[in-house]
Amino acid sequence: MIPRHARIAYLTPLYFDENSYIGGGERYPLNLAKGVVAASEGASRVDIISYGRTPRRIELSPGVWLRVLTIHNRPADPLDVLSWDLPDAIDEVDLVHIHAAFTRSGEMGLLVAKQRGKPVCVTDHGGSSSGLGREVGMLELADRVIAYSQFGASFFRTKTRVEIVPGGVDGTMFTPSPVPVVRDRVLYVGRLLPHKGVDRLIEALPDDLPLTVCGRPYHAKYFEDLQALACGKQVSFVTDASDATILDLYRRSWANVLPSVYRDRYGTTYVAPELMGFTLLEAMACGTPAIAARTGAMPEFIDEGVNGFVFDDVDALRGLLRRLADDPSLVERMGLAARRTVDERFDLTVAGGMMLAIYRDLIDAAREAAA
Amino acid sequence: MKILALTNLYPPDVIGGYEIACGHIVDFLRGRGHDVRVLSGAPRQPVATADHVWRRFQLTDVWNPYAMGFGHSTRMLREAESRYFNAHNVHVLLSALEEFQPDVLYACSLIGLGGLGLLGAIQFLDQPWVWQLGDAVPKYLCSQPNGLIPPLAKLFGDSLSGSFIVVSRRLADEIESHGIRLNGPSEIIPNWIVGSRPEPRREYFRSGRLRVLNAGQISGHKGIDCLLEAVAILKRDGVDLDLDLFGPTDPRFDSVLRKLDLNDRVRLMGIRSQSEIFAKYSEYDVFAFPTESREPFGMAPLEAAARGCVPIIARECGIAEYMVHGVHCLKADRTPASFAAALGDVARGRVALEPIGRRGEAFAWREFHIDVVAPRIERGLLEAASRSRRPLGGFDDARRMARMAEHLTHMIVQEGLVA
Repeated sequence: MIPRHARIAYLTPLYFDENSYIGGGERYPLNLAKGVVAASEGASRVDIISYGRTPRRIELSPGVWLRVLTIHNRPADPLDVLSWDLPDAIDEVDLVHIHAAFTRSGEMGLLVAKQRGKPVCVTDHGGSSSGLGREVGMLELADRVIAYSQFGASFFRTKTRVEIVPGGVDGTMFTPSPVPVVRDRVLYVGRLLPHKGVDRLIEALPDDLPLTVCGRPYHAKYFEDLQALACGKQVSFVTDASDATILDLYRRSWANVLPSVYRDRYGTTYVAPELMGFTLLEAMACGTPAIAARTGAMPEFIDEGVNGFVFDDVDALRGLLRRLADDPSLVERMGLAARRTVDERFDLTVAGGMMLAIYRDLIDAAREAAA
Repeated sequence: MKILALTNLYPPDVIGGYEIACGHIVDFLRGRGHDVRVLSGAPRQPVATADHVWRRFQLTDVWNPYAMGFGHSTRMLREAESRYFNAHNVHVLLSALEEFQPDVLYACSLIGLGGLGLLGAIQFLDQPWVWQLGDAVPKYLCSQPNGLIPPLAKLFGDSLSGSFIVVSRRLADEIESHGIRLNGPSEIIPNWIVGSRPEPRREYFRSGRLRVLNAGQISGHKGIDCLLEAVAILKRDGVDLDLDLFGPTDPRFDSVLRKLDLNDRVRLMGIRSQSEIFAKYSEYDVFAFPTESREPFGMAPLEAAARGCVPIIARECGIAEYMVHGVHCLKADRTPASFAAALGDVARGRVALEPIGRRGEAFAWREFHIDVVAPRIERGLLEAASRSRRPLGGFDDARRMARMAEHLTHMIVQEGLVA
C-alpha cells in the first residue's frame, strides 16, 4: 500500500541559504526535496531540518519546508551543531533522511531517529567532522544508504543496502536560453577551494580565450594564488553571483569546466574530491557542454564526446577548450545532448521519483511492522 | 516468570534502603517460585557470591567522597556516566538479556549505571519493564549536578514507556513537577517491613521520662537541626526528655549540641546495624521524624511503629500519606516550635501513647508487611510481562547506539550543552 501523505525529514547541519552555506552538499537536499514532492504529485512533504541561532519555519516551495532548530551546543565545527528540539521535529515525520552523515549532527540524528522507530536513509556529501560514526559502524543502523554516484557508493563498507540516486538538478530553473546568445567564454562555477583545481584551469587557458571564475572564495590563500596565476590572462572573477547571473553565465559559455583534483597545489590529498559535480549538471541543463577532470564521480555523468569531455591533464584540457571555442556547431550539438541527458537521467524529478520509491518502500515496511 | 532485576548495588553492599528493598523483593519473588536474576554493579567491598546475583555492571561510585577531589571535567564525565550513558553497562545488560531471556525487567535504583542508556536500550528492544521508584531517580537521570535539564526531562517522558511503582503520591508528584512524565501505568505502592510481629508493647515511659530516638542519616535535610532546637525549647520550658540519634552523623552536630546546651539530653549513638536498631525501638517511646518535605517515604518511622514506638512525623512527607494523626502516629509541622509542642504534649501526658502505639503497630503489620505489599508488585510484573512486544531493532543495533550515545554525551558535556 503506497502511503499517499508521507512526510519526510531531511537532516542537514547547514542549509542552502545566505544565512548558512552555499555548496553542492546543501543544494542537493533542497533539489531532491523538490523532486520528491514533484514525483509524489504534491502528496509528500519534505521538512529540511537544519540549525541556526533563531528558530524559523518557512515554505521554500510547495511541499518543501525549511525548519531551523535552535542550536543548543557550542561546537568547534559548524557541522556538529545539535538541538534539543530535534526529537520533536523527528516525531512529526514518517522517515528521516540524514544528509552529511559523518558529522555529529548526522550521528545524533541517526540515534534519535532510530530510538523513535523511524526508517532512516543516509547520504554522505563528503563533509566530515566526526569519526565516531565510522568507528561504530553507524551505517549498519540505517535502512538505506543513498549515494549519488558509483564512485560515492564505492566508499561505503556496510551490509546496509546502498542505492544510487544520481543527479537532482532543477531542469526548470536551469534551462537553455530561450533566445539565441553568443557564447564567448570558458566557465568555472563552484566554491573556490584548493581541491577544485581551478589553478589547473587557469594554467590550461589559452591566452586569447576568456574565462569566468564564478564562486565564493572559502580559502584566502588559494584565492590570492588564483588571482596571481590569472595575471596576463583573460580571467574574471565573480564572487557574489546571483542565481540569475549564474544562469546567464552557463548559457553564454562554450563549456563549464570542473577541474577538481585528488591532490591540490599545496600537496593536500583528497579521497573523494567530487561525489557528483553538481555545477556540471546545472550547465548541462542549460545546454552547455561539461568538461570534467577524470576525478571522483564526474566521469559517470559525462558521455565523452556526446555531451562533454573528460580530461586527464592540463594539455588535454587546453586542447578541449580550444576545440570548443573554435567550433560553435560542436558546442550547440553537445549542448543539446547535454540537456537531453539531464532530462532523461539527472533532473530532480527523475531523482525525486527514484528517491520517493525508496521512501515508500521503507515507510510501508515500518507501518506494517508497527501494525 | 523469568525476572531480571536491575539495581546499582545489592545487599550486602548497599547505600541505603532502596537496595535493601530490592533484596527483599527478589527474595520474595524467588520464594514464590519465579526465576529471578539480579544484575547489579560490581561491589565496592568483597561480598559473598550467589548464583542468582550477577554483579557485572560498572558502577560509577558518585557517593565516594574521594571522587569529590577529582577535577571538574573528570567529575562531569563521571556524572554523565552515572546518569546518562555507559556503553559497557548497556553491553552487560544486553548480554544478560540474551543469556537469560527474561519475561520482564524489574528496575530499582539506576544511579551510577548510566540509567538513561539502560532504559533507552530496554525501550529500543521493547522489553517489558517495571520501575520501582523509591526516590526521584528519573529526576536525577535527567539532571546535571547543578540542576534539571528540562528538555531532557521532556524527552524522558516522550521516549520511555513502561510501568512504574512509586512509594508515595508525594514522590510521583515531585517527579512530575519537574516535567518528567511517567509514561505508562503508575501505581502507588508503599515500602514494606519484614520479619515477624513481636509481642505487643504495653509499657511506655519506663525510665520515668520520655525517651525519643531518631535513626538514619543524622543530617540537616532529615530535620535534625529542627529536632534539636525543639528539644532546646523543651529544656527551657522545663520538660524532661532524652533524645538518642542513631546513624552516620554530620560532625557539625557536636558544636550544635554545645551551642544549644543539650549534651545532657541528646546523645549521638553512631552507626548500628539494622537489626540492632530494630531491637532498640521497643526501648523508646517516640520516634521523632522531622524530615524534609521531599522525603519520598520514610521507612524508619514505619519500622518504629511496627514495634510500638510512636512516630511523630513531619506533616509533609511520604509516610504521612499513609499514617493518620492521632490514630497511628502524631504529626507536626516541620518547625522547632511545632515539634516541641508535639513532644511536650507527649512528655506532659496530654497524649496517651499506648493506644496510638497499639494501633500503629497493628496498622504496620497489617498494611505494610512484605507479604501484603509484594504481591501487588508481583501483579504489576505479571501484567507488564503479558503485553506484546514490538522491538525497534536488534541487539547489535542497540550496542552500536549505546556506543554512539556514550561518545556523543562525552563530547556534549565537554562542549557545555550539559555542563
